[in-house]
Amino acid sequence: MRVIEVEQLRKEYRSLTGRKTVAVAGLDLSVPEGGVFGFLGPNGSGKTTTIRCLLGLVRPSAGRSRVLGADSQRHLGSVISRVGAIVETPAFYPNCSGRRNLGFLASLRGISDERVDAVLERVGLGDRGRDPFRAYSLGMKQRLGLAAALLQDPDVLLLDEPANGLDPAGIVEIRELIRSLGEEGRTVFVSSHLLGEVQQMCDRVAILNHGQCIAQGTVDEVLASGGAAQLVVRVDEPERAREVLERAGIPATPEQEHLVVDLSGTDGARVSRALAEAGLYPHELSPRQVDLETVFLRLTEGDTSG
Amino acid sequence: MMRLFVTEVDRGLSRRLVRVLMLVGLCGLLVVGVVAFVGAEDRDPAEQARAALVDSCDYQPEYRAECVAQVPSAEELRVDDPEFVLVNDNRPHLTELWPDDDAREAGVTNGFFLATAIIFLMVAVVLGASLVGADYSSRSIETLLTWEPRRIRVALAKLLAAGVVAFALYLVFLLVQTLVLLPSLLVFGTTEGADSEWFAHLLAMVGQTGALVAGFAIAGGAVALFARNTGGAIGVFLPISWASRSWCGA
Ligand SMILES: Nc1ncnc2c1ncn2[C@@H]1O[C@H](COP(=O)(O)OP(=O)(O)OP(=O)(O)O)[C@@H](O)[C@H]1O
Ligand SMILES: [Mg+2]
Repeated sequence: MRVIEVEQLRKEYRSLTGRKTVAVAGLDLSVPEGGVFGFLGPNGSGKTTTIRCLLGLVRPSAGRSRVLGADSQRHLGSVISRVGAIVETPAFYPNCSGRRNLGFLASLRGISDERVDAVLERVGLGDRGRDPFRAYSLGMKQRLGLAAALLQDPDVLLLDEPANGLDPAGIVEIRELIRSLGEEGRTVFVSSHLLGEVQQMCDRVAILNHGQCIAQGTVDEVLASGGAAQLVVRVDEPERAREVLERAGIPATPEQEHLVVDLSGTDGARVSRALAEAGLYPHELSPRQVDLETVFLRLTEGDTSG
Repeated sequence: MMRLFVTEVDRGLSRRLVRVLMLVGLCGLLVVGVVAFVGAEDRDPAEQARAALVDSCDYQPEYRAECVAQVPSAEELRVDDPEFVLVNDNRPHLTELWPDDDAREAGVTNGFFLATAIIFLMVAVVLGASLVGADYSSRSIETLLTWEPRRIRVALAKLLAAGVVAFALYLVFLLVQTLVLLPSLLVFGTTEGADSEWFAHLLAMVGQTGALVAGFAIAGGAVALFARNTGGAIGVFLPISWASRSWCGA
């Protein structure tokens, strides 16, 4: 079964003056059970809006979405006890302590106080649970949001930028937590605008731009779709080296002081042999790691709007 | 739905606004109790009536002695002018909590519960509106909706909780008010006129105003729900609740 399904989802916001913002423009998504699914895209690409639609918090202008097979607009109530979520910066009652805020949610499902304490402990708020929410730092608010999402031990987690506001140690912590949740067989749907950041913890990703999905699949598939790996070649006479390589049928592009070679249809050995035969000895031949960020930039090349 | 409702009541009672209101209200009631005790008279009403007549002689200083001499005795007054004696009965009366028609005729003018009821009509609006409105100003409604996406349930539970919290607070205040008036009643007061008819009247009025209080809390909450904020709801409903104080028999 698909845990999350989105079909032709569209959401337009209209301002009072009639100005129209298209937040999501015909999005299709399909998230299988288990593992971590990265939902990536730059600021304003429609990630939060999609998550709001999935949780029934906003009504889509067109299209539909399902979570655990239940329609987000009508039947979410029947599966909501299996779903944990964070939407943007988590919001709680400012004058109540973090613990009490979780207590309100826990009492909706008959969850014990021990579980509340355990979850607070798990997100690193064990000793600050009794402070009022308004006195929390951004990172602490984010942690409390995560605690709320974990409280009912859900099968599906929808996390909107969970690492927002966390310190480096916190980011690593959260990344590990998310990865372990995915390994336990839960489905974690995690959005982020830091494409490189999440690459390491995701099994699958979808990349969003202007409300549309521009790539979707396993991380390797998406990396491949953004073009082949590249080789950086440092050599004393880059211009002559480029000509030599061209004659050998290896296209190379100059970049600052070095050359960049696309590794599609060739390999490092052929490059160095061609150069050596012409008496050019590269002092550096290094593969350039392609990451999701590069893929994103390549896929959106020439796209100047926004 | 039941859990949602219980949680909302719990949250309502733990709100700072509610606690501050309780504190201010209880202090106010305490003052009422002390003033009532200190100002209470325990003399026989006929004696009080006679004293009032003696005092009135002060207006004619030159004939004061003659005037005082003409004032009838307390016993005579009791027999000859019961109306006047009634009017001068300043002992605390149990019926003062909420005088019925008989008590009013008998000269009881205070209405301690009535004052509380009128104040509470307005407090209820603020309470209901802020209970619901706070969810929008803190955006915590979004968190709640990710736990219970059935909006109608959420709305009903919130409104019901607003009504119940306001009603419960109202009853607590009436109870406390009775307690603070008890010393002066026990020491100086009388249960004259507090017959079963009066008790029935008291219960009916408390029930009626309690329902109004709950209704206003729900109405304030409902407006806040639609306006998605607190201020608007208070602005709309405060004047209405003030205007409707006559429904309490004021
Ligand atoms: N309530 C709203 N009213 C009007 N426009 C909105 C509203 N919410 C979002 N938008 C617009 O919809 C677009 C997508 O916003 P969204 O919050 O979904 O982006 P995002 O991908 O979550 O961005 P970020 O990485 O900054 O969180 C933006 O152009 C935004 O201005
Ligand atoms: Mg967002």
